[in-house]
Amino acid sequence: MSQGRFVAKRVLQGVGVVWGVVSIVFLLRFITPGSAINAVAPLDADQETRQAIARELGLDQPLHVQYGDYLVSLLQGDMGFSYVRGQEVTTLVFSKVPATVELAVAATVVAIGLSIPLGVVSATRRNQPVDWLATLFSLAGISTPNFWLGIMLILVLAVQLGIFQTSGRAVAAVEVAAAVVGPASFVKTLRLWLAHITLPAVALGTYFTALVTRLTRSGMLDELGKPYVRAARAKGLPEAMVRYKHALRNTLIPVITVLGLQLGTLIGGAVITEAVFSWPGLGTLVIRSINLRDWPVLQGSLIVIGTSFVLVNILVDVVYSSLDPRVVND
Amino acid sequence: MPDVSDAPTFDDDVLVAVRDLSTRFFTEEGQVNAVEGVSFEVRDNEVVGIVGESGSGKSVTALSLIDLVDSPGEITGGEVWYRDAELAEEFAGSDAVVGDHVDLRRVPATVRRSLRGSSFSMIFQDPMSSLNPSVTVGEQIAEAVEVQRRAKGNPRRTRSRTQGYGLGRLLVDAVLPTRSYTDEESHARAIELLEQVGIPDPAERADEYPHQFSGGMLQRAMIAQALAGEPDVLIADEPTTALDVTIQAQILDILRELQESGETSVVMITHDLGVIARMCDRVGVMYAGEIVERGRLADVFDDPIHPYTQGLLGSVPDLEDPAARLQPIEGNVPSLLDREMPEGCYFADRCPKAMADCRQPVPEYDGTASEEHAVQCVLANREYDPAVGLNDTDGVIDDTDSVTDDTDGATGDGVVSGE
Amino acid sequence: MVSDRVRRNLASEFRSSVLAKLGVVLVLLVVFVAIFAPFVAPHNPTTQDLDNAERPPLGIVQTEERTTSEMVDGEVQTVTETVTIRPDAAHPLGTDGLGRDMLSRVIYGARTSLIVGVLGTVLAAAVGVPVGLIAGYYRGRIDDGLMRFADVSLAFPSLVLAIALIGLWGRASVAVPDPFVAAGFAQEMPATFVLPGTVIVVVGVVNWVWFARIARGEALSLRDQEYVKAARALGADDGRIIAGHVLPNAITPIIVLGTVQVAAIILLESSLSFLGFSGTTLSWGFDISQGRDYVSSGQWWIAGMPGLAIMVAVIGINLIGDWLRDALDPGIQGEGGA
Repeated sequence: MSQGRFVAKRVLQGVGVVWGVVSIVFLLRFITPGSAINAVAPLDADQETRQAIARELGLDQPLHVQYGDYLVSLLQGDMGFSYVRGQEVTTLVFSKVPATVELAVAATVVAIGLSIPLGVVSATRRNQPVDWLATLFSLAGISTPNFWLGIMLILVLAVQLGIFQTSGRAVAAVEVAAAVVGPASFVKTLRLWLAHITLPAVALGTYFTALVTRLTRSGMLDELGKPYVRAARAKGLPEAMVRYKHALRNTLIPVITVLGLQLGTLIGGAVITEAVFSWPGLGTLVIRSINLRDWPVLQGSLIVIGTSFVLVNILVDVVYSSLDPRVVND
Repeated sequence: MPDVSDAPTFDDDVLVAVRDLSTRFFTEEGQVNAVEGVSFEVRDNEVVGIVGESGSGKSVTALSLIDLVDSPGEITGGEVWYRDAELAEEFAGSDAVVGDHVDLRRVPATVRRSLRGSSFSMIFQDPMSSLNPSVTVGEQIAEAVEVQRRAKGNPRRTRSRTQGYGLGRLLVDAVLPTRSYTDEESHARAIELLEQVGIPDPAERADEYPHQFSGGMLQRAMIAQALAGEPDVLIADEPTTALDVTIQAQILDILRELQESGETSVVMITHDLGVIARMCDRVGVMYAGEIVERGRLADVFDDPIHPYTQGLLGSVPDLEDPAARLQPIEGNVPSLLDREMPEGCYFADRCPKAMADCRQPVPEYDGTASEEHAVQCVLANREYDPAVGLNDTDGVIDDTDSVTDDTDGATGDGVVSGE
Repeated sequence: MVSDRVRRNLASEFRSSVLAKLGVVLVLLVVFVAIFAPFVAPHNPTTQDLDNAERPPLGIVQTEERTTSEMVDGEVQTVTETVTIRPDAAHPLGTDGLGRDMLSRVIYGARTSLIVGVLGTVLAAAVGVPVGLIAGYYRGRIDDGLMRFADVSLAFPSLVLAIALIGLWGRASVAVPDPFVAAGFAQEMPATFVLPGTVIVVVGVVNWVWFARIARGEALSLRDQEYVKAARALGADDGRIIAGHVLPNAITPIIVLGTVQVAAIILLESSLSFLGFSGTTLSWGFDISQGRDYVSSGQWWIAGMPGLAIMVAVIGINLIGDWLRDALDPGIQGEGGA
């Protein structure tokens, strides 16, 4: 099948998964101890409010009707109303998404940018000092809780050395991009942005970096031992080309599949990192919603998180299919 | 061991002369002597065969020729003389040059590397695993073409590791299936080469991936790739072992044509005596890392002197007398670990004609029939004398009719015992 | 179930690898400390001692400026003095904000992490492996259903799902009597130990899918093996085949996954404790969250020590995982555990 059909098939599967995600979140409402109204109404709501909520949510309706209504509202972009905060869930959740996306993307870019070269160098200079350092670093990296790493980074780089900010997000990445052409000083905006995002991105990205370094290294070692590498050298190809165009490319294929799965860890890690650095994103929203018992927002956030995970995985599969022709050209 | 004189001379038609080549592997378990003092020649327009069991060192010999031995292996000694007038001129005056011949072991490694694909080319046993599964066949052949094209543009001395393939292009190529290194011209040439080896619809097949080819087709594609640089020597390491018998014949025909058209000499590495008989002009028999007997095909096959060669030939089923018992060679291939190898002839423990003198290192002697026939065995000069025999045998090896008679049309079933 | 060849591979890999030995040493240390906590810990980890608060670990001298305000003659006077706090050998790793001994807290924290890690993994495996084996062996609708469900579960990052579930279900925990204290030893140590029940269950629920996937994969490839067909031909019922033939051969990747999972669950538990979603306060993650506020005044050890403990434990487990993977089958991608 062509790549187009493959993508279409994956998208279809993705839709199915999203439907599953949405349904499970729906069911979560009913496993809250106490009645389902508790899932929506704030603790201190009076009887009148509770009854109004019950009516509005259609909690007196049979299950399948509730489910149908739920799906229909979702398709219209309505994720309910937060009585605790007095806002539409959809607006609230989506207002926090950009911050989390920015953090996650920054962490991913840093991670991939560091780890793949490190993994390759580690594999090609096996058992030399570079390799030992990289191996130790990546072992430590997958064994360190990222919130603790964040705290330690704050301690050393923000408190002791004063290089970075300890918390918060002053400036959005888009603002930095806009500053290239706009009125605000580009350098100033950039520095402000970096001062806030660097530590959380590093804390979040470390596990990922370490993991991908390990995978790349072991994958490269495997590939470099395969017959086609020797044959490629035999035809006179420059060594760099053998390593990168041939060996690395085949190494990346299984690495990417694992990457897709591990992105879940990244998103989960983002929740914690946001907590440590008071980064105003989706993760902070989730935690505060639980503490405030604001279930509609929690559910809305879960839906958005689950859906974006599916989307990212589809993207990963698309990249995977352009690397491995066997998937597509069967 | 053959004597390496200080100033060798070469006949004009000698293309490659290997003298006393040794390759060792320095492993955790100890030193492994994979290739020990191997000498042979490849002349213009001929097919030279190297035959032996698995573990005899024939593949490592081939890899040593083009410097493809990976660590922990190292070429530890010997000379590889290659006839190349330009190269000789470049290194004129050093002791690495004799006339038009250059000793590749004494020139810089970068020069040796630059000969891959252009002077020496290699095809491997399993085409499916010798080609990158995620790059199209056409692209891989085009790469070979392009590398050689660019090489001709640069003087060899300045050949670097990257050859202008920088970091940026490197990263891009790692992820995207672009054709930035190769261009239309090299792809067109790739298609020509595919046609030359007899692949139908070459233009379409060039855009396909290795797993979409059958074994035989892929091996042809490998040959096409190997020819991209118009090499002087094509080394074929067990090219037909993984293929069906009928396909084997086709592949061998292609190789034969190559040699006959006057462009390329072929070094055929195999364990299959039938292939040797069908293809080769001259042959070398390897055992435990050494060439124990070599010479013209007829000489070695019709008049083998070394008991191992005799044993090999004796193990071939005779089509004309299918009921005759096969004569296996007793015992097992010795370990190649340095500390475990015996003094003297390595075959002595298994040899039905071993004698007391065989415990001393045995030099290479010229055979009786012709000067070209060389054998590393004391039997070159004497008869077997049971009185000083080492193994309790009567020294008889059932030497069946020469295999060269049976090979019209079929590759024969000559498979060496112990495979 | 563990064949001789496997035993030999394990032994030879162990002998040749420094890191494997280190891993075993670290893990044994953690396990020992966790089990024998009442004997190893110098103090009761819950005992507060406000006079001794914020004491630094050995080797570090802390100076800080303390500002106190008092009412003197109707006016508020603020006095700033520089106070030097010296370490105390009785508290080699220092004390926290309430004067509790860090070393003891770290030691007892090992219990929490280990119990949650091991029990959580066992639970996840106990659910996931049978389900996976059945799905892979029978295929058909059960298999499809499982794979769909797995895809959906995996769409939620484990931490997020765990937080959501704990948020919804609450943090129930069980106070288990400490066997050593009950037997009369170490009387000054806490008599009961808190088992964070919800956390264990949630962690199991969140992670069983990984085991199911691996088990399913193995069952799929093993069901076509000759000996399985032979067993069926001899009339063995499916249950016996799965338990007696498929499972023993599938055990290797499951064990490798198990080690990865224990490490992942320890990290997960510490994250949950850090966020306050655990049922116990005697946990490394909890201490880190307490210590966070002290970082800005330079008192790093309250958050630092528990974090180092986590690293030690997880590094040890990962090294063992590497050892197992190298010895049993270098081809396993053991990184599939979040």
